[in-house]
Amino acid sequence: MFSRSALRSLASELRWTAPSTISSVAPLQQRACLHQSASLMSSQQPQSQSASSHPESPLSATPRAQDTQPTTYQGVRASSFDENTMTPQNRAHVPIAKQPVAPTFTSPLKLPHLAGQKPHYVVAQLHARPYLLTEGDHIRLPFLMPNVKAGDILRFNRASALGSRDFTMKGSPTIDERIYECRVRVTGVDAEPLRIKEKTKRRQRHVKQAKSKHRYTLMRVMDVRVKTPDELLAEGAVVVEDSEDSSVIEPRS
Amino acid sequence: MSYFRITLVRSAIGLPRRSTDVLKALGLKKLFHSVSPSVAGQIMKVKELVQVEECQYRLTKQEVHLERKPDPGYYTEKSCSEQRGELGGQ
Amino acid sequence: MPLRGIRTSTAARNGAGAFILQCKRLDFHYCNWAGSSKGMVAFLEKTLPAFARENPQIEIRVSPRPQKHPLIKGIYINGREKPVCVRNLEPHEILKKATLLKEASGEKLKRVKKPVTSLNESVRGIWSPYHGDLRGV
Repeated sequence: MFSRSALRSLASELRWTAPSTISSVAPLQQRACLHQSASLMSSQQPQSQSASSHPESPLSATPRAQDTQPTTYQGVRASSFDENTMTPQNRAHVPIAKQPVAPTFTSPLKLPHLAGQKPHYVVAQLHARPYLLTEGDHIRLPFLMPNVKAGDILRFNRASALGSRDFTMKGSPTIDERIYECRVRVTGVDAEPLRIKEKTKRRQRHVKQAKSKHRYTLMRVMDVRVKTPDELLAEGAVVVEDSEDSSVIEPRS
Repeated sequence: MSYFRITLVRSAIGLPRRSTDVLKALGLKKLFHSVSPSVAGQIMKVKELVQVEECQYRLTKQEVHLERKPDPGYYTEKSCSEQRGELGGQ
Repeated sequence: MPLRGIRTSTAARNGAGAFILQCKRLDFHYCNWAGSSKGMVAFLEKTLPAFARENPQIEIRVSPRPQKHPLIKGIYINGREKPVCVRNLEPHEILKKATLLKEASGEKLKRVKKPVTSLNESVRGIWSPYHGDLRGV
């Protein structure tokens, strides 16, 4: 069996060597389109046009790791990387197959509506588990987050949905991390009360007491913010006019 | 060198002894088989039960695990020691 | 006397803006004579200065408590305190206990099932059957 630390070191190495830009593997594979709640604006514009004109590529069609970068593996094993920093520090540490694809929008663009309408919520995915967060929320993760201390500021960069009262942006499966900011501060570590489970076996008087006391990381959501199109353009987003009258914004970091 | 990556997607419970034996002969704990006529014939026999991809490299067990592992979904933007350093600088 | 509404005051949301560590003071008690304090004395001499330097926001008090086992006591902003007995522990184990007390929130330990607790109103509002489009059943 492989030890857990060996797996971790390999994970960090793979993340480290993944190239930092995603534009090369993002040929409009998924279309994150802006949905809206039923009552207010449903009469203005049918939303189904984007789905019909551009069929989404099925999720199973995402390329596996060995298809996308088969030549790097030999180099990966040779490269050395600090095992302690297993939490990804930036975008380059995340394997390219797991990075979300640049978003595309149907015309007319609804991002200004979403960005202008406060407050926002975000469904952040941590280890593929969803947490619905708004600003100022208190989180008690169901696990102890490694290598973080009280006072650290984290950015959540995987969100499956982002929304305000009337608008929701859905990712398939996640939204590009450059169009929103979700910051979280680690406030400490909590524990549960000691649990004692009595383990018995048949025909034996001996009773074993199994004790457990797990620790959990506490956090506070600092801000949940959707960037306005102006900010995105200032950060280097490019507006691409599609032939089918849909404007496409591709953020570039 | 190319390999078959074979995944069992349906069970052989209730099937004839022969297909069970073929699966056993394929040895599905070993995920990757080099492309050869005998392996191709075995796959043909149980083609309803397995999913086959062709790939160039034989991944290790760790790499297969990493493919399945979801992304953590966070990164450290600023650690507390950095923040204290900024406060000290002001 | 007229009935008065309950006045809303701001709820404490430590960390949303500024962040204050919940542990404000750590008391270290030791005994010079007893053998159970051996590790504690070594910890106080070797490790504690570095620990204190790393955590300038925590007040650290060291005081002898003769004829008793060594003890670390954390005092928190919410008024509670957490004592941890560290008899017969090695210095690195004591450092672990001190870090535990430092990062704790000071609350009583509770079993919580929901990961997120929110004071905010629901962002999307509460669903009502009488509003919005009429739908055929």
